[in-house]
Amino acid sequence: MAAHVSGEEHHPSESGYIRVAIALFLFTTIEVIAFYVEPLRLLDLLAPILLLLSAIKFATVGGWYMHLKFDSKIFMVFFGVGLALAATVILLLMTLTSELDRPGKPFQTINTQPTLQAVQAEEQTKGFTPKYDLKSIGNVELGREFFVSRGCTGCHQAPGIQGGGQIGPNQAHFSERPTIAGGLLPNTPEAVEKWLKNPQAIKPGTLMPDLSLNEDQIRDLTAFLYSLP
Amino acid sequence: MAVSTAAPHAVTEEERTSTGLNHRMVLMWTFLGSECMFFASLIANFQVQRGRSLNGPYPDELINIPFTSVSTFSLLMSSLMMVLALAAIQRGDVKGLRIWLLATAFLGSLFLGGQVYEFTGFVQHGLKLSTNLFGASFFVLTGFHGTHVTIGVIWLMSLYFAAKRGRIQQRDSLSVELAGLYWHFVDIVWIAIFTIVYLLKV
Repeated sequence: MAAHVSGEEHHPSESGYIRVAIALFLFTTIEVIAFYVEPLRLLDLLAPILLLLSAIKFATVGGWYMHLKFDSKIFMVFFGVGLALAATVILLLMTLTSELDRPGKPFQTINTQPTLQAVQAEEQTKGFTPKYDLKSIGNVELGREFFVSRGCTGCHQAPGIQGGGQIGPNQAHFSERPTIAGGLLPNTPEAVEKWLKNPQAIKPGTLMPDLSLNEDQIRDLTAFLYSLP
Repeated sequence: MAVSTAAPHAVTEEERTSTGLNHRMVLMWTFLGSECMFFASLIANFQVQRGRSLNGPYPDELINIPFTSVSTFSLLMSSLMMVLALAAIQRGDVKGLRIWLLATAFLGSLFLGGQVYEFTGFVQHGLKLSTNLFGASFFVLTGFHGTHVTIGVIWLMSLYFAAKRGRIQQRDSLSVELAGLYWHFVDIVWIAIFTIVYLLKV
C-alpha cells in the first residue's frame, strides 16, 4: 500500500484497491481451506483462526474500502460505538445462556429456589398418595419443568401449574383415569411412556404432537403426571 | 491518478455544521452504527439457538460450503467494483462509473441468486422458518441480510440510470460514496455471517 499522508482526501489508489481485493480473496480462501483441515478442528484451533481472519477482513473493508482509515475520526466513533455495543450484546447473551462454556446444551436453570409452581404443587399434593413408586419411574420435579418448558401447558391444565390451555385433557387426577390416548391405551406408566414417545404412531391425526423427547425426559414427565392429585 | 479535486466531504457554503462534516456522511455512519446492532441481535440469536434444534433437518445436512464460498467471493469482489466506481466518478469518469456500478450490481445479484437457490434447496429438504430453531434463526438472519443486498442492488441500479441520464457528475460523487458505504457494510456483515453461520457450524 502506498504511503498515505494523514488527511481526509488521501484515499487509496485504484491499484491499492485491487491489492486489498487480492488480500480479501486470499484470506477467504484460507478460511475455506481451514474449514476442511481436520487437525485444526480437533485441536480447537478452527474457531480462533476463523474469527481472527474474518476480523482482519472486516477491518480491511472498513478501513480501506469504507475509508475509515483516512476519513474523519468522528465516523469511526459513530460506527465503532455501534460495533462495540453489537459485540457486547452477542457476548453477553452467549454468556447468559452458557453458550460459551456449554455450547448446544439445554439452558441451565439459573434459579435454584423452588418455583412458585413447585410450592403450590406441594401444597395441593398434601394428603395425596401416588399410585406408583414415582422415584422408580422418573424425576417429578424435572417432569414439572418439562411440562411447562416444552409447551404442554399450551393445551393441558394441571394442578399446581398456572394457566394452561383447554385443547387437551386437564391432567388432574391423572392416575385415576382408566385409559389414556383417547381410550386406546391402558393407564400404565409403560403405556404413557409409549404414548409420549410418539403419539402420532398410536393415534394418527391426534392433536397431541410429537414432542421429540428423549427417554429420560419421557420418564420424568410420566412420573410428574402420576404425581398429580 | 486523479488530481484531488474539491473535497467531497467539505461543507459547502449553504450547509452549516458544528462538526465540519457533511451531514449526509454523518447520517450514513450513524445509520451503519445502528445497523451493526441490528445484525448483532440476529447473530446473537443464531448463536444462542445453535445446536438446540430438537428435530432436523440440522445444519450439517444442509449447508454447502463450496457453493456458499462462491457467492461469498462474488459479494467480496463486488466491493472492489464499488470502490472502482467511486474512484471513476471522483476523477469525473461517468462512463467508468456506469460500468463499475453495473458490475457491482451484477455481482450482488449473483449473490442473491445463490441465496434464492440455497433457500429453495433448504425448503425442499424440509427446513422452513417454523421447522426448528435452526430454521428460524438461520432464515431470519440470512434473510434480513439478503434483503439488505436487494435494497443495495436497487440503490446501485438507480444510480446507474441516473448516471446514464447525465444526472451524476464529478461534483455528485458523494451520492456514489454513500451507496458505496452501504454496500461495503452489507459485505462486512456477510463476512461475519459466512464465518459464524457457515464455517463455524460445528
